[in-house]
Amino acid sequence: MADPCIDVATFENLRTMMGADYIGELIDAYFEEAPQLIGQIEQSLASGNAEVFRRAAHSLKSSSASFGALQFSARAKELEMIGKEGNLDGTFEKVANLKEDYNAVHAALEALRDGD
Amino acid sequence: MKQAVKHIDTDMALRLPLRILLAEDNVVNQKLALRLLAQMGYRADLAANGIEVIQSLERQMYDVILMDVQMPELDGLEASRRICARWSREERPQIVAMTANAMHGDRERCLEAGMDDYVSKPINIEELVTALTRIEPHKKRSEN
Repeated sequence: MADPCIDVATFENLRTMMGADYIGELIDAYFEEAPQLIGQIEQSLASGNAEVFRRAAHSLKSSSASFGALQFSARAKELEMIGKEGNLDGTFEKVANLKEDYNAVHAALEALRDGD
Repeated sequence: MKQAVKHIDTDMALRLPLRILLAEDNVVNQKLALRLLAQMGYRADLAANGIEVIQSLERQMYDVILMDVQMPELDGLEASRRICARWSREERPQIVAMTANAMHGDRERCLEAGMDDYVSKPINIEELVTALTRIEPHKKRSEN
């Protein structure tokens, strides 16, 4: 079953590389870290710290891409670029969307992990 | 039908023993890289930012640093500049940048900062193996 959230080929490639016994641990690490990074993005948006904003978005982009969460990763990249420009005005909605998208990524990865 | 993962050479570390320092702040990327290296038989040490990289080198030398470019405190570029300023090419580890290759000019910046090579992120096995195969361990270098 193709899930639009996750590029299955990328995910399966990762699962093969990591080993079926290890992929769960990697997903758990992502489930722990991704919300922290989203929290950093929200906090830095509130405080106007574009550098922290950029770095957290970059980190989220990078690990999300490894799992094949390509659209989500692209959204994080968009925020990274905004942070690089330095003007965070008007990104509140984008950040809110990112948070919502993460819930979908989380659910999709959970399903893939339990898949077999 | 590409995408198939090549068989991992679990004896690579026996044929090519390397002391590896992994410099990476993202926990998922850390685990991913450590796992890949472990499957080749390598047990790498870890640094979470450029400051920790320098501190690690003060304690012991490595053959290679796998260096994330974007890290907090001190990024991979600045850490590489400091390493190259402080240690000679023979003394210091070879530095392999890990870059999300989307950004044009990133690799050039890495080489300008004194890094020796680069692999793209997300990391794949073939590229990592190729980069490690190019590393000359210190012992061998000093024998030459």
